[in-house]
Amino acid sequence: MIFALSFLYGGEQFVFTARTHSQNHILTYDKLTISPLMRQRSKLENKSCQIMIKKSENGDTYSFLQEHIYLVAECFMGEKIRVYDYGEQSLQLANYQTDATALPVYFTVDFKEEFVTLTLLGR
Amino acid sequence: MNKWIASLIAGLVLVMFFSGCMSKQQAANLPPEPEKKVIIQKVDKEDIRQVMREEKLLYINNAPERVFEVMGEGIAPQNTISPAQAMALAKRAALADAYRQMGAKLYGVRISAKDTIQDAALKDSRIVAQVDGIIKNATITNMSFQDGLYRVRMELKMSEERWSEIFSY
Repeated sequence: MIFALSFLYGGEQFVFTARTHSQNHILTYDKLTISPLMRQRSKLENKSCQIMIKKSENGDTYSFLQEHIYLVAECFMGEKIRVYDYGEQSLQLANYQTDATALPVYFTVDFKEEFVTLTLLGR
Repeated sequence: MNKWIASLIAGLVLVMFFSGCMSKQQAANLPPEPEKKVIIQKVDKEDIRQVMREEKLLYINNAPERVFEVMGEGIAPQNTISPAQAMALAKRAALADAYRQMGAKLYGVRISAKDTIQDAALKDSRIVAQVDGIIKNATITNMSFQDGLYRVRMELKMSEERWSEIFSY
């Protein structure tokens, strides 16, 4: 049903979120998510990012973004990131856990000949 | 008697003069007062800042922006299927570490410690450090991968004005 709704109402606007959890400097959990927006947003912000990759002719936007999700993540590195760290040190043990969550970023995609532009949308 | 009447009339004239009493005709001859217009203006933070600057209520500091710089480190996990995957995962861990350090610089670290002493000897010592905050506008300036350790140099530029606005608690 979610797929059907996103197919029906989702446009070329997307939302990006990410969550990373690491323990003692080793990554234990990493999830990056891109989903089409159900409710279209009109307010464009004057922030954009370019990915220097061409889009293949037969692929759709969503697949393209999923394929290059790490590049998309790098684009939004400067956006709001919530960080929570908990470190415990005792006589014989040290344990540090870091949780970094990228708050939702709404964006739209514009394909050019040589690159792709991601433009942020207002919250 | 005439004196009484004369003084009464003079008194009435004086009262009328000082109370501003006038006939309707006189009032109609006066030019109409301009209509007061009420202008509703939406004021945001920038407007307030500008007014404060103009009125010299705000101390203007022309010093360059302050730069907060941290170096995040991440280790590649051992159960990876390729060196490329190890590098990618180490990078993600390094980024999380960089954000943690940046959070510690901006917001500070909450420390709580507990020592347990039994029979005049230290039995246990425990220190807990916590960082909690939101980071925005951080940029990566440099990154490297060597001997399984990924290093990320992250920086965040902030003017003193903005610093005092956000963190003046």
